[in-house]
Amino acid sequence: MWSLGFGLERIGLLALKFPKFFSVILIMACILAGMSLTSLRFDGNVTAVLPEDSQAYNDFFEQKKLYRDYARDITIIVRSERLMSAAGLEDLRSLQLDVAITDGVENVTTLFSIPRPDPQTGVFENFFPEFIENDEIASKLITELLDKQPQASALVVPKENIAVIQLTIESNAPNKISYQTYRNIKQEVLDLKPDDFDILFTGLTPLGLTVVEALVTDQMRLTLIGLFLGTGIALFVFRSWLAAIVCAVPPMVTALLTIALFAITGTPLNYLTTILPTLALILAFADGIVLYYRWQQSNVKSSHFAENLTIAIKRVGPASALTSVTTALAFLSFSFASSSALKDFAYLGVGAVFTAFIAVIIGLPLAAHWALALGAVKQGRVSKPIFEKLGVIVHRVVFPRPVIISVMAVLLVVGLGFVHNLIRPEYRITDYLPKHSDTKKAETIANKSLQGGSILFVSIPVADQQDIYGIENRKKLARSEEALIKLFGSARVVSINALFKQLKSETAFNAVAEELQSVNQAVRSGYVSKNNENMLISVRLPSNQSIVDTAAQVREIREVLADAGIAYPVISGLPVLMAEEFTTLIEQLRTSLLIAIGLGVVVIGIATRSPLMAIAAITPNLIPILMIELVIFFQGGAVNLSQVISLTVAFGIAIDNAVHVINVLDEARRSGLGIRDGIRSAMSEVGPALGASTLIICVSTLVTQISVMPMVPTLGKLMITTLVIALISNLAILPANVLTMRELMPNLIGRKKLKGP
Amino acid sequence: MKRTHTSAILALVLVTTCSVEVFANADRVFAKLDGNFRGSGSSITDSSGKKRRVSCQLANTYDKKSGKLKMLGKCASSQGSSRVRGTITHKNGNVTGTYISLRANVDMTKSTGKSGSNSLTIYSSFIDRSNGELYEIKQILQLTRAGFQANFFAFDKKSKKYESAGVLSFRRK
Repeated sequence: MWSLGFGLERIGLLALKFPKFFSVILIMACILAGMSLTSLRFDGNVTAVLPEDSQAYNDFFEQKKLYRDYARDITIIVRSERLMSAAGLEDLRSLQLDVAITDGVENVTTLFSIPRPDPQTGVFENFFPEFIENDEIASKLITELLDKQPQASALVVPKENIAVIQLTIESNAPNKISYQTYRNIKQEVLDLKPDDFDILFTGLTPLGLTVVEALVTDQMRLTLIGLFLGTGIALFVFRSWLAAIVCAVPPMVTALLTIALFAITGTPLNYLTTILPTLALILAFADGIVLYYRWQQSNVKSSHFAENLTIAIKRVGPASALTSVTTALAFLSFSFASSSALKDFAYLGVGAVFTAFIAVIIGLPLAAHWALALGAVKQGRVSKPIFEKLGVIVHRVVFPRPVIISVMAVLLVVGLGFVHNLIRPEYRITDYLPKHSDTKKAETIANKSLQGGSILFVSIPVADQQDIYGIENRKKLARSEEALIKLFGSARVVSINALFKQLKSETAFNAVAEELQSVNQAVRSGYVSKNNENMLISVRLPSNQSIVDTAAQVREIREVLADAGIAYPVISGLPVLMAEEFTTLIEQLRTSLLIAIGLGVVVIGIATRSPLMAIAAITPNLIPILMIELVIFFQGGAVNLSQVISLTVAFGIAIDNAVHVINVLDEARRSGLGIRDGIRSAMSEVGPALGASTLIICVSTLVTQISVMPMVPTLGKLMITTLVIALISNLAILPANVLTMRELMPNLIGRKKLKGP
Repeated sequence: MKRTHTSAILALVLVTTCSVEVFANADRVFAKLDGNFRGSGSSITDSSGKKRRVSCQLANTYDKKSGKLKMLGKCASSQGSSRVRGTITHKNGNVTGTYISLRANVDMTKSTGKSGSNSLTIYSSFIDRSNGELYEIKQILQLTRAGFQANFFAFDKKSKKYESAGVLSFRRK
């Protein structure tokens, strides 16, 4: 028969038996891990979690092939009090020219690039003259531009003194160096700009680099401050430097090995996985402190410190092993999602959890062993645990009314389950940008003032493949554009039709068509596909728009285009990709959460060899998750990717409470106690320990609040709330369920599995 | 939107006299043109004949041994940007080289030049393949404290004179 922790605690006992060997192994592992850190990589791509085999994903990349890679576009937002004056506009023009000749820049567009073709001859002329003589002319020109070409409002906002320089990074710059290319361009622009020009950068490349830089900073800060915080908690709990140092060994080893896992497997740290080393570190602290706590308790009673350590491992080890299994299963549930990045997250999460377990079960006993060998451990007094009365309070509340509590719990689950179905998935790219970053500021301005920072593309197959700018194609494009303008307004919709609309003769059309054939590919591919078989209409959307709204707009686009007789349009772009894929992905993750719950309960059933215990653990562990969903529902009813991941991880940790309660109850039963006495004993023993470990994890988790990545503090807050609710529900509802089942099924529970008093 | 550019921006072909002094001048001027430059000014960039604001950056490398100055750069107007490249060589006081034009579909037919103590003067002719027209260009590169100034002139068939086509001031980066 296996123990509650599947015998995994024996690894710790083995380490104590061969301390020198295991110490060398551990040190060697740490050295190798440290050496591997040089190959650690970071990925700032916020779409990296999307499934790679979906229609929307294929359309997105097909559009890149047909037209161009819009990820290489960078929007430079220029702000200055004098920007709309003649001198300000001339400085903007100079900056545009300087940006255009900067290395790595393929094309630059500003309001000065806007053409004004002659309506009769089609001869191109710029809308703006080569020199703007005075402020009055400047103002008049801008007003006229916005009046005649509303799409230009994405390039200039006179009321807010904002103008845009849109640049494209050279397409021959490989993806790997595009961040470096962008860095160089950014530095050059900042060097060249007039002093009173305020410059902000946005676009997928700046956004990705911002995320990467935040990930690097965050990883250092979270790890170091997490270690500091955990050591501080150990010092607070034990009031001993030795204890603090011994308890800090497992988390340090965990942090190092977990980060090395990424380096060794070649998996880059991204905005999702960045939390894993911190999370593993927190788990290692919590488990380590519980183990040390048990050892210290024994040391008060007996000075056989080495024996006490063995007993502590035997006592705490199984529960630690089982909690690691349940937390690992919670992570593993992400592997059911159809995204390789989430599968990586799942497997690395499992790796991180087991790394934490190994670091605790080997690292802490070894640290304690060497402390003993150095004579640093002395018998002392232990202050009373702060949650000493928690178990007593709970059984005073639960024992008189177990059935009522159980029934209420079931009703609560049913009621909250209804809310669970009302919650809709959500994803906003801006939610993943570091707080207070310039990129976030730029994206906010783009959304508020520049018609939106995101672009949806509608690709229309041409009617006449022989003459791309011929009358049939122009009519089809005009019809499509008109339909889209009705939905989004003329300021948000851009196509080559804006140019055609200005022409009054066929001579002019022919002249413009000839001119368009000779323009730069980067410009041309904004309107026509490389194979001349499709025409493109771009629609600007706010990047902070809900994916639910985008999905609805995509449906509307399909409808209006169908009404306009446009067949086979391809609707793509990042907002469409996110709307279609994140909806599916978040739904999959919500299923993963249910799978995690199911697996957790099954594992408890297997470990305790009691299916009824597993059933008793269902409601107390569902309630924390459903309660959080209720809060999310009241906050707007939308659950995002990070929230659903947080809930799953939190569940994996929260169910640990049930494991500890069942573990102690199991032992009480084995020692011959009846159910009521067993529960009373379990509550008295496990209540304070769970209160303390929840406090430790919650305080350690506070480190997430310093992260600049918005997802990480969200994860921290949700975890803390879930853990607190889980503590209460496992101390109150779990015993109530066991007692209720005994009431309802006395034969089954009372006589066979759980002996009655 | 990108448009074709005219000739006038960078025409750097030179034929020098055979004198030692001229050789020394050419060597000195070429050496001063070595390095990275960024410049701006105005120039005629298309057949409309209108002068437009232009910015350029050049990376020039001069090999003293071979007397060869290689140029690689990029120029931009509000109508677009283009890469520019070219080579000019001085040997025994003679300057020869390749005319650099941002304008597409042109063939250079003749290029001669001479060197002063602080300047290069280049005369070039080319034919526009699209319409067969012959263009004649004069370019004067004058060394300045910060870098150099390039003055461009286009031959006007009506007045039979070189008319100013633009001026760009380059400073060393």
